[in-house]
Amino acid sequence: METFLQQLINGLTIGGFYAVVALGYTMVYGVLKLINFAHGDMFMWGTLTGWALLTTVFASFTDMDVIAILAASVVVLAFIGVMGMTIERVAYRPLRSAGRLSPIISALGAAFALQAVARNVSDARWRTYPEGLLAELPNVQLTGRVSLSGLQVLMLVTCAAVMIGLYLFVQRTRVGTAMRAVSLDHDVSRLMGINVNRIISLVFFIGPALGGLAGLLIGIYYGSFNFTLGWVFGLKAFIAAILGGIGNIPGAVIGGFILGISETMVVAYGPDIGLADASAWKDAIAYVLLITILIARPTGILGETVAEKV
Amino acid sequence: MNEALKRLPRPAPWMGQLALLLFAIALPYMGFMDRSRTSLAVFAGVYVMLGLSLNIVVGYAGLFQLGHAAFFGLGAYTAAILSIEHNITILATIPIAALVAGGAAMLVSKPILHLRGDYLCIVTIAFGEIFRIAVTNNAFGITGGSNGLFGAGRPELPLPWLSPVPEIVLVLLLIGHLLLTQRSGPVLQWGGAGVIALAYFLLPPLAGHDQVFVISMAMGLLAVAGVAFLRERGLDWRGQVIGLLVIVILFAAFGAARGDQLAASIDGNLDKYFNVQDPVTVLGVDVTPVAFKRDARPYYFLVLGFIIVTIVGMRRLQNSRLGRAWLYVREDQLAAEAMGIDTTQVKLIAFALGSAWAGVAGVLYASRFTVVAPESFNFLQSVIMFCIVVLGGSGSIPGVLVGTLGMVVLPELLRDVGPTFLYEGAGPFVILALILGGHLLSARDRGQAAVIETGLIGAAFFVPPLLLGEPSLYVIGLLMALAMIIVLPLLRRRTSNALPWVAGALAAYALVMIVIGSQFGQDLEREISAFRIMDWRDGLMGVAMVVMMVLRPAGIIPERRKGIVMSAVAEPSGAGPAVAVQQAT
Repeated sequence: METFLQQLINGLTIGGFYAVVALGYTMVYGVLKLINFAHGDMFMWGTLTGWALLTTVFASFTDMDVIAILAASVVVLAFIGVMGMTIERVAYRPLRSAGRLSPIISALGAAFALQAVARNVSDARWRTYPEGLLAELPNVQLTGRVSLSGLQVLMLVTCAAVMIGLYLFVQRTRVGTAMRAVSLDHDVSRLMGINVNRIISLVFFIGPALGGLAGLLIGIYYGSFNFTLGWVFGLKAFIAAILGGIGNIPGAVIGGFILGISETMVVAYGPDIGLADASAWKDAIAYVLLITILIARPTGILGETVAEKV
Repeated sequence: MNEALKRLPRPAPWMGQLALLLFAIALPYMGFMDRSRTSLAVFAGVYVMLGLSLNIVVGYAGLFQLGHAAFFGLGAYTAAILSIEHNITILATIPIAALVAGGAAMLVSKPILHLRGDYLCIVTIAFGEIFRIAVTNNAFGITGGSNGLFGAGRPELPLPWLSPVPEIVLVLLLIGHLLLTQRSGPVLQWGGAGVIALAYFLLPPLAGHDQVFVISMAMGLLAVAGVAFLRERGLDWRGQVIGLLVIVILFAAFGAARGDQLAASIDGNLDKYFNVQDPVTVLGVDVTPVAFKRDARPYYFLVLGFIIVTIVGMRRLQNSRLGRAWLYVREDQLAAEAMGIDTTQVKLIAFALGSAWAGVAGVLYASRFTVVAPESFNFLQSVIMFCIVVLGGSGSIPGVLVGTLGMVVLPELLRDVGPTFLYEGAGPFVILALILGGHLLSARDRGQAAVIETGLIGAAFFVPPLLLGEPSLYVIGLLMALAMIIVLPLLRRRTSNALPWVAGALAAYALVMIVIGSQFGQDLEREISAFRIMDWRDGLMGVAMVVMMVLRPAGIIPERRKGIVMSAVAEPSGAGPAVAVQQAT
């Protein structure tokens, strides 16, 4: 039972990251019906930017790492957000009326380009974050041997804050209402006086910015990364978004947690149920889960059943 | 200018195809085709097969498939396992590999085909990844883990001039000819058959060698093509007789003049490219096999043969009842359903057929490279196949050829190209020619403005080296030409009058050029010579993908639509979709 609780906590932490990255996918899909394949790599760019900042510019703040991390977060949010807007402007907007195949190629191209630049910036090596970041955060002892590290608490709180904040923003503010309108129908939104292009740009700012923030946090949490991080993690986050029902913010959160927890559980309990090398198969879990859920509920857990518009 | 172009006589489409075929046959004998390049051509040929097979799924049926490499891999692994473990000659595994790949595709796609496009896309990615993880982890203990399988067999063929083979080939040729000339009158149909048979058996007695039956097969094929050519001309019976006589005389003259040398050269090449193995008889018939050696040339022709068969098959398929059903499902699924097309069934067939054919490509791959390892079938390969189809023009067969050139051949050739290519010798001019040609092609609808713009881009290239007197500044010229391509549409959008934007572009350009040229000329050269192009290959590919799609959203050679198809066409100004009616060509 104690192992189970401990694994649950680990799974929740990873799931939180999946959820935050999935938010970016789901928002973009909501307004453009486009799989933003570059999103995973923008997330990785968040990790990369954070690493570059913390090892160079903010390296002198080592005794005040909270301030350094806060400053890095702000820079990462702005930088990755602008990156997302630029990619939308250059690679997606010219193709908005060009069918559905062309934007996919364009998105994959953007992902390749981002990955290649990151690869050359990091010399294709594993890079490590400075050691002992936030090490003085207190651990939270739950029962006996079950504990949350201070880092985990921070991650969970940040992820929760981001998700709740975004949900309130989309549901309660005027701009959020405009976003929901755009995701329903571009033309009608335009008739209602909404500047559709500006809303889409905003979505492409918020989604990648949050993804970049998650990237920075995951860099601190894991301690090391390389340039391929974005692809696998991004794909899984997208699967999380589909699991929950794409275009749906609470759905992305639920999907992220389901994915994170099931991955951790399979790796932890795999040997007990006869899967000896469970960790080698870890990456396959997300895909199997995806296929199973889509066969059972083709629109995801929280997705509404709508016929595809023709 | 466009009017003048239209009045030029247009060559018949078959002329281009024939030229392409002759080029493909001559390619491995050309001077620049060393061993590694021939090998690259074989590799590219396998990708042409893959592109053609994916074209069924993506181009014809309009389904998203980003896991095609898995079915390619299934075919390759099936062939390798059967050939290594069970000693089955590898070309004989083709039907089994096709069945395995096609059957697997049916199994996995059946429950997911009803999903919306993007969901289908992500599920195919998932399937591809599961396949990769499974073979990497040595699923069922037969895939050899992350090292893969070594030592798949090389192809074996029966000696082509021993008794049953030439006769079978002749019968096939005659059947093909009779089918082609069904409605062409008796002279062409039966006279033509006689001419083909004559052409076929003319050479070996003249040359005194059985080996020449290999040439006979080519001659027979040429005779079929010659008769088909006569048929196209619409001659009266006298013309037809004369035409057939000309064909006979041509072949006889050729046989008398070259027969001996041909036989000798076949004998010489046999040792070079093939191992003749121990005699084998099946039911009393001698079918002594020859096995391919490592040299790539026989593989080239093997793959070329498969590609030709595939292309012919695809074109027949495109115009068949099934092909039209695919088109209908792609354009409007609800309407197709209303017309009584079983959309799920039709999509399932597309998926299974495309995947089975990818399995065949997998066998060819395994037989050529003899090593089958997981990383040859990862997601990147699926993306490359998808790009071959979409970049070339989804649904278009020439598009697949062009797409393969761009996605497979070009990146490999970059390996040989050093950074100095950008500023030494003919390099910069080749790139400039590509840029200018590409721009003229994509802007040709704008008439005069296209010419002016192309001229501007060209000028942008030549000014820096001329003005600053440094030949290495061709690099800056290239950069400036590229910048001009990006700037021009922006300026064009701001104003409808041509003069201001020409002036504006020139002024801005001169300013930037002078600053860059005077500040960074030397540094740039140093930077460039330290530049390793292979590090940036994927990135360049990515940028090229974005640029290509933005410039030509329907692909380089878009599919020619048959009949009247309602489609949403992008306005260049981005004013939103407009419905246009495209008339048949």
